[in-house]
Amino acid sequence: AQTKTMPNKNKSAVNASNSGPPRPDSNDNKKQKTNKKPKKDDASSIVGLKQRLSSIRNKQRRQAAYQQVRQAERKAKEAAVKLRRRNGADNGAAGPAKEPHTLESLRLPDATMTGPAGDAEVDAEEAADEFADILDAAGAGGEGQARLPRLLVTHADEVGRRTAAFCRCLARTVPNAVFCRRRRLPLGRVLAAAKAKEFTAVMIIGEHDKKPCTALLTHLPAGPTFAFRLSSVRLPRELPRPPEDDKPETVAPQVLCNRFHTRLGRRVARGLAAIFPGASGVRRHARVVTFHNQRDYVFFRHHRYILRQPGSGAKPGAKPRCALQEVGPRFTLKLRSLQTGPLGAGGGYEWLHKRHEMDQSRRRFFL
Amino acid sequence: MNSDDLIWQIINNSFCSFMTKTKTSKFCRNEYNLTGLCNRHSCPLANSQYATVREEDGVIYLYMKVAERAHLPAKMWERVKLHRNYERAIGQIKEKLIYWNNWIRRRVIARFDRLLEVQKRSRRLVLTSETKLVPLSRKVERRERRREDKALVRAGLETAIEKEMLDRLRAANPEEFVNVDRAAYEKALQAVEVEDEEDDEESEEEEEDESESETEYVEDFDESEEEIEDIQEQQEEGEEEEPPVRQKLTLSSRGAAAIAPPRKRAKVTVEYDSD
Repeated sequence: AQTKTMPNKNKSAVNASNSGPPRPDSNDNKKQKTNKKPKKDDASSIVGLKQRLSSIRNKQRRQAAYQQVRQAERKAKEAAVKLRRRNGADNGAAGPAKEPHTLESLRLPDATMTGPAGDAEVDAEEAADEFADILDAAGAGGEGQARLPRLLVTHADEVGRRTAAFCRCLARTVPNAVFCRRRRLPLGRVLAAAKAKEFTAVMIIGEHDKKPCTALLTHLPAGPTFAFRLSSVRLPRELPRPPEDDKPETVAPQVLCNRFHTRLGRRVARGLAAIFPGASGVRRHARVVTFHNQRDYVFFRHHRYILRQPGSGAKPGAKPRCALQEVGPRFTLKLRSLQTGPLGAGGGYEWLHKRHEMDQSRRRFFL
Repeated sequence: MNSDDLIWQIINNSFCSFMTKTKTSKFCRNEYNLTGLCNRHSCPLANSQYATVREEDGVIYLYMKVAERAHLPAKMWERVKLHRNYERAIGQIKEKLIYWNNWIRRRVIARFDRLLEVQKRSRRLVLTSETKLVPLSRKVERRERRREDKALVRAGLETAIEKEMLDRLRAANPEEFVNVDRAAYEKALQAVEVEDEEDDEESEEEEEDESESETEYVEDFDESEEEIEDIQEQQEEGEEEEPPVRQKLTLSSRGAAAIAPPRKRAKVTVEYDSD
């Protein structure tokens, strides 16, 4: 670091009383000073330089000096980035390319997270959970047929048109689903009727301010109860490209549950997937229903997909693509609580979102 | 010495802390008041012979003022727990107030009836009204909204879905995904057909040695007709689903493979003659 004397300090002190254009020689001194700055970035010297610059009393000159320093810094940084990009990890001077930090990469590791390789313990537990007879029945040599899921969709007491429309839409998206108006029936009666008519799950959509705002999903007869917060609900007619037709679907959709890593996440994923009957095989064009978990928000999307092979006129490197057309409603779920047992059985909470305890870190996610 | 008239004169004319006036009437907010109105004979303070019925935590009591202890306000009231059985409760009231003012007796019974009605109605209300009002915090709502938007951006849904579907399709129909130059494939296919014709002409014996190209049509193969690219037309066909032999649910993390389902497709094997 170059030692710099501060001739101008005295000068500016002297000139403080005089307001007027800066004297020519002091200006030159400034320029000289700035020209003497090191072009190579040596961080400590830059910091030292900035500190010294801070004692320039004149704001205009001080800012001009800072600007030059910053420009030099920026240039050095850009040069380093260029070098790094060009040479990759070999350029020891610039350092290896770094992965940008994201919440996903900085996520606090959760003890219950299962890797992609799978976990025998988790698999064993899942083979014995409430959804096994719906989801995994083909597993053991296909001995029993899977229990066919049947969903009853209803809503809270007095509910606006939009919520009712959403419920109807849901019932059309999920195969084998039925929408029933609530008509102020007590929940006990609703659940008893559902059990009698062999529904496997009941979904109750709650409302706030005339918009659907909560979703309560209960599996029957012994299933757990998921309480979700609903947001960003868009009906099919409100999609950016609304589908023209309104045909009821006859074929079971593919169900994707993306990015559910923890044990709780997997349970939620299974609970949501157990509403849908199994699709036997992957067709080349059909529907796909996605529950995508990102940072504890579960995004629901419903598309029609078709596999498109590149035609004979395509470029040699062209890959097959899967074209998607969005069809069904869109909504976002956020898990609020998970209770064992069906609704009304007073089962204990497996998981309950307690804001003050659980939301203390921005990097902690539960699903 | 306790003079009811004196008390009434004072509190009625000057000030009574329990009295509330509206445009049409005067009310008494004293808890022991039988009617709730501010009257000469309703006033619990200005009557040494007075009784009420009150509910405490779901239990209904008959409260009676003891005239002898009117100078000891803390010990002035006696109470009797009324029977759960209606008739026996009425009997209790009549027995305790036997030599009392007719008006008080009738008003006490009337009040007792009203309290029972109120109890019945509140119990029924608890059973039927299930909506529980939950307060929302605006700050929290705003924060959740913001975080959801950011998560959505990060999710890259369309890409993720396409990737996952391609994985599943690849696992289910691997032969479709062979990385082959399509044009060359078509050409080679044509070449094979031409050569097959030539072979047929020449000698049949040689053909027996070579493995024949087999086309095995297992079942009426709907999908072969559906090379048309309109997705929506396809959905009309609504094939009947076979009974649910469900594939095990696979929770996808990138790289988890789906289990290949039982295939019912045409199996086409093409043999290339090496020249």
